[in-house]
Amino acid sequence: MFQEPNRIIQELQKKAQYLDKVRAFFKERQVLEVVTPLLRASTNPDPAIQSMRVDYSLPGIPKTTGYLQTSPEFAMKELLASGSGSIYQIAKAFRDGEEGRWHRVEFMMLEWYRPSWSYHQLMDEVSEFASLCFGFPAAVKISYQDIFLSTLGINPHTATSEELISHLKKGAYNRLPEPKLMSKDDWLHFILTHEIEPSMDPEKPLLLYDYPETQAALAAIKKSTPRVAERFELYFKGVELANGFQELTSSAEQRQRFLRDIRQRFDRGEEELPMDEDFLTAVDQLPVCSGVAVGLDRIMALSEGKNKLMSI
Amino acid sequence: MASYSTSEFKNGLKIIMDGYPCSIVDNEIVKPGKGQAFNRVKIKNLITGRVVEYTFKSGETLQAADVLETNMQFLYTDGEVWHFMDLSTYEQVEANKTTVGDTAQWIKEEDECQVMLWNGRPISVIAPNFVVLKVTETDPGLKGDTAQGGSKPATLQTGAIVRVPLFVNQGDLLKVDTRTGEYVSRAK
Repeated sequence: MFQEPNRIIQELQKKAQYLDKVRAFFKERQVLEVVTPLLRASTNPDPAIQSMRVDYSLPGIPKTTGYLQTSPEFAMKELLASGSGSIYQIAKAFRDGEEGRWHRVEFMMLEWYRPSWSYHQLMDEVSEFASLCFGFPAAVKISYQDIFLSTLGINPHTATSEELISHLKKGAYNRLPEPKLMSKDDWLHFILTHEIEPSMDPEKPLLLYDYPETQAALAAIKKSTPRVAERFELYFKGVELANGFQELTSSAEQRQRFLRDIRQRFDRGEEELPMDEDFLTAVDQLPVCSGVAVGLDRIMALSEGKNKLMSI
Repeated sequence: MASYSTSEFKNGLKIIMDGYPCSIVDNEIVKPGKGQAFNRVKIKNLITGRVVEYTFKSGETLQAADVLETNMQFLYTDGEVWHFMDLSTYEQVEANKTTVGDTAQWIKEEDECQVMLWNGRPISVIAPNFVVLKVTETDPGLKGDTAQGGSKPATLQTGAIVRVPLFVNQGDLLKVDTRTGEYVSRAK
């Protein structure tokens, strides 16, 4: 770290310039910057994300358990439920065990919410944001179904796991993961990461939208045929940069999803996570809105022409 | 037998793949948004040297390989079997011609080598980076003879042949870089 002071100063200055541009973008659009707590009594039970637990004490209460946020979503939705209007935040997020070329256990997240906007409107704003702040070309929109159909000729919503495995067996893989451990969504993820992402046009950002219902996370479900999650992602050069939703506003539905997640964790013999009642109350009072989370470290690295995260 | 799960994968980890002892040479985490991670690993077969890519789902496991890299002293060879000894335990192992490979042409008795053991048996032997060997045969270099660019071949005591400067004579001790097979300098 002490060996290349010039390079480090340069990277710091570039990051500061990007952050200035991000703030200017939102100031112009009258989106309020908020700062919410990193520590929370509960956390997102998503079975694919491990939260970092913190044990700390308060006066008179020697042992309290909290979690470092895996994203500012829960705290920001509580603000939206209280009538904040459009808000954004640049915050650190923490995900245990996620370290690699495009992952850091502690990373920088930009998240913003647009009350009364549809997720399609937000997609347009995300494309504009990436262009104005990071110099990306305008993004092209394509549905999850269409990208699978055009890349492999397979409909991801109607195909079975067997059909997906059949397709993969025709490829040059030395080994496929153990089928007993793979759900249909896992096979779709495998194909997306190993075949579709590498075939994306490296010159055009892509907005992938309408994910399978089973990959909805906190997004609303469209009553179409087949049903799809009103969720989108921004990709550039094969790297996931942003994840957005038409936010779910029914606490009953959200509670069901959390219960499924908690059950999955229980089946894996994991620590039981408390149900976040404060968040569920906020979900019921949430205005119709769409929101998006952007991996700032990644988008800055790509803007600098890097093929991995920067070192500081 | 011990095993490693994907969360323990890292470069240098010794594992068994298709019955062969292997080493992980690259471990990349691939995580789709809102899904379980995959590990894309490049694995080097320690017997054949081939590097192959495999993908594992987060949570899959691989059998650990009992592979140890250790320094051992070369004792002697009869041309078929090479004998090495661990200097702290005095245990001896035997390696065949295939396992010793190219290293055979560089080592003389008492040289310390890096030996890789699988289940206690050698699967590879690496010579020290530099060795000192005596020239057993070389033509006397004639003054002014630059026909071959100022160097000539010399046979060393192990049978290895290296290119040396013209002033090198039979009986000279030379320092050789075993990684490139090149003459470095005279040795004392």
